[in-house]
Amino acid sequence: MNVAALGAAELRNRLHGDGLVYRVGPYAVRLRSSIDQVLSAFSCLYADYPVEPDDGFADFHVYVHRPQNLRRWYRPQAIFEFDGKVPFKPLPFSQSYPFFEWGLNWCVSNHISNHLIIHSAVLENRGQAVVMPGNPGVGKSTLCAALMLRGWRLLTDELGMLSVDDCLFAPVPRPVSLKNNSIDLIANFAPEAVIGPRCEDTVKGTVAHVRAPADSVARAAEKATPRLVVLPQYVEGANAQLIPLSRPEAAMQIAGNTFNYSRLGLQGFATLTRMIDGCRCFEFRYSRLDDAIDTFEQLLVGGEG
Amino acid sequence: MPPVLLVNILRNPELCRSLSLREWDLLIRQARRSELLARLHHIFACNELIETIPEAPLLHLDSARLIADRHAVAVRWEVKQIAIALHDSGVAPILLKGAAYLIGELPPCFGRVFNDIDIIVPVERLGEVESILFLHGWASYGMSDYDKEYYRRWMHEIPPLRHVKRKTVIDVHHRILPRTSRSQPSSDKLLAAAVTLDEKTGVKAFAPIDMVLHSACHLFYEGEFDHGLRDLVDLDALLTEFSSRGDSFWSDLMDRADELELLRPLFYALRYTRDILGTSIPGSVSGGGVGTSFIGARWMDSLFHRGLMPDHASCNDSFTGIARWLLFVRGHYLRMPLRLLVPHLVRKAFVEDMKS
Amino acid sequence: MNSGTHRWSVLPDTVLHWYCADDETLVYYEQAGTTHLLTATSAEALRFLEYNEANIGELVAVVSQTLTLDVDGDDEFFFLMEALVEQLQKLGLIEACAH
Repeated sequence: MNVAALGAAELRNRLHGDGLVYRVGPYAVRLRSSIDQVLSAFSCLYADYPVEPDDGFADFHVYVHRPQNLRRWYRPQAIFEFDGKVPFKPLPFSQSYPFFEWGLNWCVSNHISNHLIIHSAVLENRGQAVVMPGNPGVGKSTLCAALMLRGWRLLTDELGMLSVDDCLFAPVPRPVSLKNNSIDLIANFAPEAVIGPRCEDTVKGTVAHVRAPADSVARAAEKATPRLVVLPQYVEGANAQLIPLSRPEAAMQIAGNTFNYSRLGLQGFATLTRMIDGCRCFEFRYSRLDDAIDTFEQLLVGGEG
Repeated sequence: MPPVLLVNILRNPELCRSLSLREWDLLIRQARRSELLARLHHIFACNELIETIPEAPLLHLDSARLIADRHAVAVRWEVKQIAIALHDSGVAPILLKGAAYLIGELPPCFGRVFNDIDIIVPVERLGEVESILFLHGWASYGMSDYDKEYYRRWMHEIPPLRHVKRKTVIDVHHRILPRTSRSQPSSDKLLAAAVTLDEKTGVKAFAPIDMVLHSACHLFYEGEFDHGLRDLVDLDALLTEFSSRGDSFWSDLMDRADELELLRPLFYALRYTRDILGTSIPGSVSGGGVGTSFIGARWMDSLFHRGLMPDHASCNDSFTGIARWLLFVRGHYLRMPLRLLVPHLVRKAFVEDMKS
Repeated sequence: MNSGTHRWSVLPDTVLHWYCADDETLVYYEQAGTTHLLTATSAEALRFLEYNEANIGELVAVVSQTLTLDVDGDDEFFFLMEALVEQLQKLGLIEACAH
């Protein structure tokens, strides 16, 4: 059964009660929330995700709620709880839903160590996974949304989970977070895209999430082999341009974009170098999404055979 | 009080064979909160139970164990750096708690993760040690002048030192309890009995019985019990290991506790490791005779049996919040005379309030 | 410090892990948990110092031979090696040997 099949009333009951347990890739999340914005965004963006049995195992217990004090009325806030502990300061109430997504990123990146967790978008096409590490502002999420809306399988837009055992990427396909101008850009690029509520005035500006394709969600158990590392850089007016990068250099760049490389020690180094050894690596400058997608399609051809 | 699943499993790991997935869910959460996840992995591994564990909870146990293993490598490296730095001064650092267990390869070290490396040095060498560590990159950081001054005047350690590059933190102690504490165990005696852990680097640790007493003293003079159960697990492992090494352990321990005026924390350590974890301690050994009345003991039981449980909603009853608060106040009371305690707590409350 | 007369090597018990591709090298220093990106020349110097002690002159000889560089009487390569050794020392990968 998926979230949509649960029906609006039951979804509400569970979020308000002991929580709804749903599955995203390798993880079961128990989400509780009494906040309408979380409920409406969740029912829109997570319609396709499997619901897990209520008496089973959940990897992360998450609760987003309003504080029970004067703050309920005066500049209301939202609180994120991880199994009863509050790891962050509260955020304005209007950001409750993005807060849940950011908080969940924290849960995964701080508690999972059988994967090297790379701050990157990862997509797959014809058996080849492309890893796009990058700091905020390089256009990684926009590019990720565009590729997924053109048929690439979404593994993640934020947390690339590279298994230390088999060096494959485990998909954790969650809604793709877009900021500011990218939201309209993607809405125009793919009018069929389902975009959740816009939250304004967050630390990152305006934020909205694009629903992950049903196919990506359905294939979340299917791991993917890393074949390409692309470090994207949005450059106003630029033509699409690929610049080859040495593998050690690319590995250094990735190491600087991981959540747990140093915590994994030798295993982190071994996993990273094993991955990079099977990849072609590039820096990529672009300004137009269609050019970028063409370039990625050509890269795939280069990697076959 | 509700029975605590984690405690049942610590006492009898075999019980994990029959846990439902919902119970595993609870166990992992209680262990995570108590910082005992990696320890639990170790316990299951020692009992050859890993293969019986379902995949979902095993992921969290494995993750924690992996972190603990890397942590051990990092601590060994850091200890070596400290030893190299202090080498020319002739001061052999005496490692305390986690770092001592690890370098001494003592049973509590398996799956134990800790933030800071604690060392103790003779008080008359303190200034010299601090300046040498400073030259090697360790400097005090991020503390208000009030807090620094407070440390220097009243505490048993100097303000924490953090390495500028590696960001690792050392706590340098010169005694085991604050200067203001009601009990003043002799640092000279503890330091004089210290043993060398590693010939190569020359680092030392307290002698076994002193290590037990320090662990007990640390736990039962503390006000905050975030790691209460973890510290109790340490004590259980130390007692089990050292008592197996020789017959005179228990009587030596009692004599030494008497000598260092640490009978009270030892009494609690023995009482609660036995009560809660089922540690095997001869009936004749209790650390008793410290003048605790029956009612007093029952009262402390009702506090410690709550404070020593995981700080997790599933382990709480209606009295837990008050019990933790009373233990907090008690910890401060034992460590500080009232004329200092009240202004300190008021200031803390005020500053915290300003921050939020 | 006059690095020309010192003899250098890695710290005792050092374990290094290597990854080489595309004319560059990554080295992972297991005990310290640090990763470094090295050029071919520094990598060869460090590889030698992993199991041997050497001064700058000896390193020049060994590295130029391994990489088949013709540096006979080339002072610049000597100074380059001196700079590389200084870098490796700053990264905490090598130290001057006690006499």
